[in-house]
Amino acid sequence: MNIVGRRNLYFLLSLAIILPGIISMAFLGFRLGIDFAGGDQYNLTFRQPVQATAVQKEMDTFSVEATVQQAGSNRVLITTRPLSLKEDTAIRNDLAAKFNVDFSQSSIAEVGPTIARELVVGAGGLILIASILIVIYLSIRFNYKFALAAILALLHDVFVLTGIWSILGKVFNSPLGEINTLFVTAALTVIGFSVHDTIVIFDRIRENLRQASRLSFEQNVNLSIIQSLARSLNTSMTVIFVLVALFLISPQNIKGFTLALLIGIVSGTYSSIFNASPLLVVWRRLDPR
Amino acid sequence: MRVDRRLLALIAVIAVLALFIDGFAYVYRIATNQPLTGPIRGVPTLNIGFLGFSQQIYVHKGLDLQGGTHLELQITQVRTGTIQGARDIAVAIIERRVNSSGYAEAVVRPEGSDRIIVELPGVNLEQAKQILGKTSYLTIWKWEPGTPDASTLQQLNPKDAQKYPGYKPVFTGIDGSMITNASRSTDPTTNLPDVTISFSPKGNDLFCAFTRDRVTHPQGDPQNKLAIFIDKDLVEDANVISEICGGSAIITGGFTAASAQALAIQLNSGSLPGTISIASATEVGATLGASTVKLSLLAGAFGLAIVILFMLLYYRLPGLVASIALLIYAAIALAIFKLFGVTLTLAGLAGFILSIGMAVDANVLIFERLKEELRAGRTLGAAMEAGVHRAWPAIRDSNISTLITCFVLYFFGAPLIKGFAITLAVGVGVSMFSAIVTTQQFLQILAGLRPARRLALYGVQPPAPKAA
Repeated sequence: MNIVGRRNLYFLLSLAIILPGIISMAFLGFRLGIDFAGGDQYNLTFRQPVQATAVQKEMDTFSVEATVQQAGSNRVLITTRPLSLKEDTAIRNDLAAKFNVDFSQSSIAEVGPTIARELVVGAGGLILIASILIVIYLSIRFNYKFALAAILALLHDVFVLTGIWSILGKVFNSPLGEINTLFVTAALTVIGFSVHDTIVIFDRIRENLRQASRLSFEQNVNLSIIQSLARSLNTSMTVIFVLVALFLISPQNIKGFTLALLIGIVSGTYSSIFNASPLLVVWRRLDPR
Repeated sequence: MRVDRRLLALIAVIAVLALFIDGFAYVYRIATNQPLTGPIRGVPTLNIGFLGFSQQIYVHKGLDLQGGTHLELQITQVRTGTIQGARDIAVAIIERRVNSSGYAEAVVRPEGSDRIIVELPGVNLEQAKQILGKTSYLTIWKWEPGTPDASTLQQLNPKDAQKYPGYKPVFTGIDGSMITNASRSTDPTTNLPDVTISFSPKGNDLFCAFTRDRVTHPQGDPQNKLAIFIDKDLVEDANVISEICGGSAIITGGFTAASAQALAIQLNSGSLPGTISIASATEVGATLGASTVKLSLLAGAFGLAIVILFMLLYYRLPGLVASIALLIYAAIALAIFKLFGVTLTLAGLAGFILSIGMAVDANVLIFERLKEELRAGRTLGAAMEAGVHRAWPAIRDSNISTLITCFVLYFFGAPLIKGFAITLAVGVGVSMFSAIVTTQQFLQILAGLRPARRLALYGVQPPAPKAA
């Protein structure tokens, strides 16, 4: 199996996934959760099946810029502009009277626009700081080329995830593709996993390079990838098992979260095998020191 | 390497201790005849005096798992003083309001320089806003002979209004709107802490007349006292030593530095220090939270079962070892969450699930190496030692970089991100122990057992005998 030799194919595949995402991010942006836009969000469960259109008609009478989306046969998601206590109470009472809402199965969030922006800007900054520290650590343990390749693979995963999220939220208009605080957590998890996964393969390369052999650098890298392939796939499979289980049974409000984790872990596995290590080879060719 | 009996004993002790802590809540519920589900009452606190450690041992569930309302309040337009000072005053007011409303498990804490986090388990958003929206009202009363009438008993806490039998509280007309500032001070002669308050001109006139009248009564007589109520509660009942007409007054009365500070805050808080607005609020229905927990646990158990099955099929005997190590790992991690009161939220669960993956990964790394060494024809014992030894740098470097991420997230992140970082860090730490110490010791035991020496048990074909 020659993974390194076909590296351009794998780079292309990554681009094919990332590019639409970047275009979507640039032109359409994201579907922002109320954490960002500010407003109220009712994640309501009813004791009987309900039509989003009927709820929408009812909400329109309040003129609170409400959008109602179906989220299951007896669930809807309502987003409104920020509401006063009076409006909030009126809406609850009205919906409870007309649609038989089960409030004990529902969640309601109200957010001012500053909080989430701080969280995301903060999270971006944290990813940056963490990346710099990881680069320093890996530069000591390996060398700076390995460190930068690991960070590039990490960025790959971040772009895959955010790109798919932009497409999911804006092109498919799915509530799953909403950027909220849970998505930020999922992105952080993916970053942790991505670096972890890459390092394991790098360790193998480091070990093989130390041993005297007639193999070229390229052959060495390819051998290392093959040698750690079983491990990479096994580990990812176990995590993916847990996540698929979580995704299938998770309630609507955290489905997006588990889906983000799932996409990120798959991307993380792919990028460590097909991007990070072949990148080392590309670099070596450009700068054969 | 041999089996280290001391290490094995250590693993056994830690595992048993962890299982005890994990199961403790259930034992406690049965022992105290409490139902096995629902909120637990009167959880005993574990105290280790010399370490200053004190913690109730149960899983602290975040509001997203427990149901309730989480509010983040922001203070703007501070009237006097710094924004931090205003924040502390506001925390004191809100704490008192929340506690007087009977929400014992509520959390009120400052966040950043101008934010306050309020967590109210089992309360919906509407109720929460009513609790927080209530204005706090400071009033000064005097004691006069008589019995309190019905309207006074309605206005004040009956227990406080009837503090001195034969005396009733009478409103002096002085309230929080007439206090411009209150601060902690020190008596220059006795060096004891006291509280200095400043009045508006109108407040000063009233207070001057009031104290002039009160000092005519001997000390010890309730009529000599000045009673400060906030909302319905008596917060201070102090002696009046001299008339006070200088625009400010000093309240003495056996304060500690802390109680003087508290009173100053309470006096200031009779009028809110600034505008408090809701920056964010989240309400999670109680059943929704419970079903999230149930689903997460189910997913966790299901995921763990698949992982174990996979490890058994793929790695055979070592897979069994890894599965046992994984169960011990889960027990220890859960026990640490309980011991240190780590609050479990959805984000925290994500961190934990990721750490399970990493714990498995350490074992997978070791076993893959083990297989390679066995295929190379090494003896079982030597292969096991080499497997652990050669897998170590990968485990070390990958986990350290994860810990670096956790460290950054924990120290600089928002609360949600902190929860994630701490569960992931605990998970990674424990998984290193589990993979390196536990798995290695178990493998060494296997190497010593004759029936466990067949290579097929490790998923490896015996190397073909060399041609003679």
